[in-house]
Amino acid sequence: MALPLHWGLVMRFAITLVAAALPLAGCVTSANRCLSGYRYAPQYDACLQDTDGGGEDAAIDAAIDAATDAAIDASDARVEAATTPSSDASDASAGLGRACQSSADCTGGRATYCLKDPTQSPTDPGICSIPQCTASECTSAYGCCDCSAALITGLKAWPDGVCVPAADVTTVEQFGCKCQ
Amino acid sequence: MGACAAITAFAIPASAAAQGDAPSAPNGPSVPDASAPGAPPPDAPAPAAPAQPTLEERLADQQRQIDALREQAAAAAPEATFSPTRLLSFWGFSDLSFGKMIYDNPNALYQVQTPSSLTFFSSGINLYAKSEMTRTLSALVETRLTYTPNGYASNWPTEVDVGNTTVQNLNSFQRVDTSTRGPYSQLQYRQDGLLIERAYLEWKPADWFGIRAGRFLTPFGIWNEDHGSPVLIGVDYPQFMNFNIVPIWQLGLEAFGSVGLSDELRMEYALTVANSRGPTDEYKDLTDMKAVGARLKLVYDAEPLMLRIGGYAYYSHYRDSEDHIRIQLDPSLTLDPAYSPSFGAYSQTTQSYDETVLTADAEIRFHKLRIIGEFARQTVIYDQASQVADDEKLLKGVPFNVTIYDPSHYGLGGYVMAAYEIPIHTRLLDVAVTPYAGYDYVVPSTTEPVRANTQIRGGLNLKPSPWVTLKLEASRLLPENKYVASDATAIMSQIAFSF
Repeated sequence: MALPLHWGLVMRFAITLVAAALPLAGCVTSANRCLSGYRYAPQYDACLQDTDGGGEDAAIDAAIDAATDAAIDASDARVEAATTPSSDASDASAGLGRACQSSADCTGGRATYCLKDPTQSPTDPGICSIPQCTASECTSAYGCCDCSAALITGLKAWPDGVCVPAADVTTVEQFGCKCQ
Repeated sequence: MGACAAITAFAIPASAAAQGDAPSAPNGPSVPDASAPGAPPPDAPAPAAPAQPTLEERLADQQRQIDALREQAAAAAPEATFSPTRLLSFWGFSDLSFGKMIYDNPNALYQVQTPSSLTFFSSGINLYAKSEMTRTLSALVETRLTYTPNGYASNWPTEVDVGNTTVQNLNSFQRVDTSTRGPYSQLQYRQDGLLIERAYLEWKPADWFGIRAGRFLTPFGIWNEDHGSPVLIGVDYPQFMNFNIVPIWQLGLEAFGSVGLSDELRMEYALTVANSRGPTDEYKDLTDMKAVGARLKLVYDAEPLMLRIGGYAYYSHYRDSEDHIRIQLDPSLTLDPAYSPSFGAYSQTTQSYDETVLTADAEIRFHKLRIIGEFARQTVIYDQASQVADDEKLLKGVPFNVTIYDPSHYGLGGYVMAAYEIPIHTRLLDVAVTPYAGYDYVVPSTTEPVRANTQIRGGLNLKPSPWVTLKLEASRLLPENKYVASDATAIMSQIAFSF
């Protein structure tokens, strides 16, 4: 049906419609990219929660960097540390840190559990560690870690509370272990 | 739907004649005049006053008139078929495809949900029922009978390895199984699904104004409203439509119309108010904010050239939520009157964002050449933090144990396609052959570039009959991130038919 509409009227209608639509064309800006209480992490194109309004940025970055490194190099770093503990870490009296293939190799002290890197072959050597440990038992060269709530099944299999070489504490914490 | 314009519809005459609203037959037999045949000439001398007809004569006279009327009604009945009132029209379409996708890397991620084996498959059967109650009032229901959800898999066992060692196993395989048995015969069969595509009442008093109430197809682009596989040039929709950047359906109200600006130029519009998008938007909204949209299209049609250009703007507030019930007890373990209500409910929002969508479409037809293109851009602005799932997090290169949230982002996609129809008329053949080629690009979310991909496709579309379309298509899929989803080649054929 051809209505006697004037071209000008039509154009005004069209322009009005387009003008009304333009505000709808929302844009993502630095102001609305992340909500208040979150900050933008460009390396992941993601928002990270700010626990104190930004004061922990460095800590978060460090955690991410550490976790990234762990994801890339986890197996090598952990096996190396696990199988070649520092001399300080080796507590001869308790047997802590002694190389082992199984827990049968860990006798004569409190370190009765053969701790192995879950990301490595089961035939790779581990170290004797103290199950149901306390922080003092583990000495400063180890952390006493509870991995019962870890993200990785292999870590969950460790006894609740076990001495982990200090070099690995940060890594296992990234996977949900609680260490002291 | 334009696809359906040429589709046969059968009409139930609707006993319009019996309702008395059918036009009368223009040349029907006249009612016989009882006085005509044996009446004396007017100039004849006046005879003696005739005797009054008896009661039996009067009854016989009336019976003759009734019989004549019945004959007239019977003669007029075929005309009622062409009445504008059709209480029921029924039609539909379906298709059968055959083909497979061949991935350059046989372990490509995307093969879990694409036809990586040579297979027949069907998108289902679309059935239409339309009733034109009056010249201005009608109702349409379009349903799709689907073979899914049987066999639908959305959860795959995921093995997380570091080196050669599996450090985590996630999920377990889940495939929907709708198998059941008959109550007596014990025949095992699988129950299939039903999708309501459209269901609305339409009142259209004039070309320039009509309104629909119910579930309607979002009036954007070219293929959404003309979505039947017999009218699609290619085997499938353009890529961006499969990612729901624009809502395909809405539940609410749609006003629409068309205004002729000149003999060649026409303007079409549509305004929509509907439920905002959400997990249940097809029948229930989880937010008070309604989605609004506006469509404008200009059509210039001067044979052999036809141009049309259009756009659609849409705003919605997406919300997903969980309802909880809270019971407050006092120390005696009865309802605590200090709380009002002590036995109440609250709603917890689990995902919420504002979204705006802008689309543009254009089509040029010149003689037998057809060039079409569509583009859509979606903007998502979160008003509640949305945690990124583990698998998506890993694909973004973020360590497993770091919690991240999806930033506000865009989704966008578009395509261009060119097709040229070659009519072939011989003694044996009367077909239209349409070679076509196209380019698709889609970024479902700018914060998930791993899902972005490009598709190049070309094929042949052959119409041996207005009711049947045969298609053969080859396409090359080029995902943005090769380390996750390898390039792939798809070879597809399809027969689509309407009835």
